[in-house]
Amino acid sequence: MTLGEILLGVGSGLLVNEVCDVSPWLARNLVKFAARHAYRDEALAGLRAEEWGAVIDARPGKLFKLGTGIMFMVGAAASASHHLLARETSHVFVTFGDVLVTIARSGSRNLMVYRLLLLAASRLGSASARALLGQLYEMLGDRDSAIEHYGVALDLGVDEVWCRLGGLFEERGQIDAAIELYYRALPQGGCLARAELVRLLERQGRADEALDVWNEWAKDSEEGVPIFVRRALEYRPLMDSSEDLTTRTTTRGLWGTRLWVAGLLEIQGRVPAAMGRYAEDPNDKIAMFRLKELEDRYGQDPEPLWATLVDPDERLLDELGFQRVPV
Amino acid sequence: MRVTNPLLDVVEVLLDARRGGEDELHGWAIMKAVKRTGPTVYGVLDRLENAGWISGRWERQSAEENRPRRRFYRLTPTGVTASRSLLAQRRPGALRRLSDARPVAGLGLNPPVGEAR
Repeated sequence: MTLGEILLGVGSGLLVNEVCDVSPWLARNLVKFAARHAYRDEALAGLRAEEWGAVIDARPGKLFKLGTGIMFMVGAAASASHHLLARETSHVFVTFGDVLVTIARSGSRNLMVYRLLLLAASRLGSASARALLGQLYEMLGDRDSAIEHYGVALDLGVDEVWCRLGGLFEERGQIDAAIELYYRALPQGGCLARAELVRLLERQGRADEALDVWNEWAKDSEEGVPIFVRRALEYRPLMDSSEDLTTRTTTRGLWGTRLWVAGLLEIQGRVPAAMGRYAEDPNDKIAMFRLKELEDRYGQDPEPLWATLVDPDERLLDELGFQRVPV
Repeated sequence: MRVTNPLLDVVEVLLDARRGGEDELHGWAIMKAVKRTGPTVYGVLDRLENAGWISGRWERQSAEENRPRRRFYRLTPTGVTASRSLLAQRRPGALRRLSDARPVAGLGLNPPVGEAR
């Protein structure tokens, strides 16, 4: 054995000994640092710092103490990155929702890259990435994965997904759950959840409850703008694609094709035609409610109603892909 | 509250401790029992505490003890009910075991009587 090997052996032993002695001290300081960065609440951070110090103290083995301290540091780093990414507004989800359609149309490879990027961002705690992943899986027809990712997005504060969850549960046939989810979506604003909720309530025979939802919505409407007209206005962007419209009316049976058409007729100023649509089903409480409002304003028979059925302008609605409601 | 396997493990251990008469466990004891890392266990404890399922208290120490205070956790009455219900749904076998078997010994030290938080 050479002198160098002897010195190396002795030196290594001393180094290990020093490391072992320093490890508990280092571990205690690591957990204090970790607690400060894992919790934004200072009081809670202080509480956890002391508590984790006790965990280090209880943990047997000096190097194991250091290992535990390092694990708390890793956890704090993950938590801090989550806080950083969760600060992004959930409006990102809404804003970039349309990006998915564009990417999907550009090819399957781009879609795969998009999915991988979202997975990476979601692992880092991005709330919007989670919501967008849910949207992606929804588009791919994987409802279970979509629901899973939307659920996490909700935990992270993306309330906009309540409505999408409602739609997915409805597609699974879980109507009561879907209704509950649409109710939760109402505070987010927008007409889609209200419209879907009213449709489902009507379908379940809960027409009075549906009317209550409508009346609440009507209270929020701008003065002078009929609620149905406002609804039609909000759906206007969909009118760019007749294929989209046809898909929506057929797959979701988007409620009240009759009422939707009537709303559009109102927005076009064709009140007699609108009233004719509303009058088609006397059992439709929503339609009767709105018909009464229009009658109060314009009189019961502003024009011969049969004219509304042969109005040539209605061909425009056919071109837009509306299904005719059987008379 | 999102239900994960670590959460179920912690809840199961706390229920088991109640049966053993220990009623409370400190953080390290929970980590040892569920065999999970500190960040995982404390993430679960955070969620359980926020949901009101558990409450924590510092142990009382004598002046001579020169070590950090430990914090003990116990299930609240709400937590007991909710935990049983949760285990019944997700781990019925574990709930049956908790109902039938003798409690597991050695999960934690008997805590000295301490002040409530």
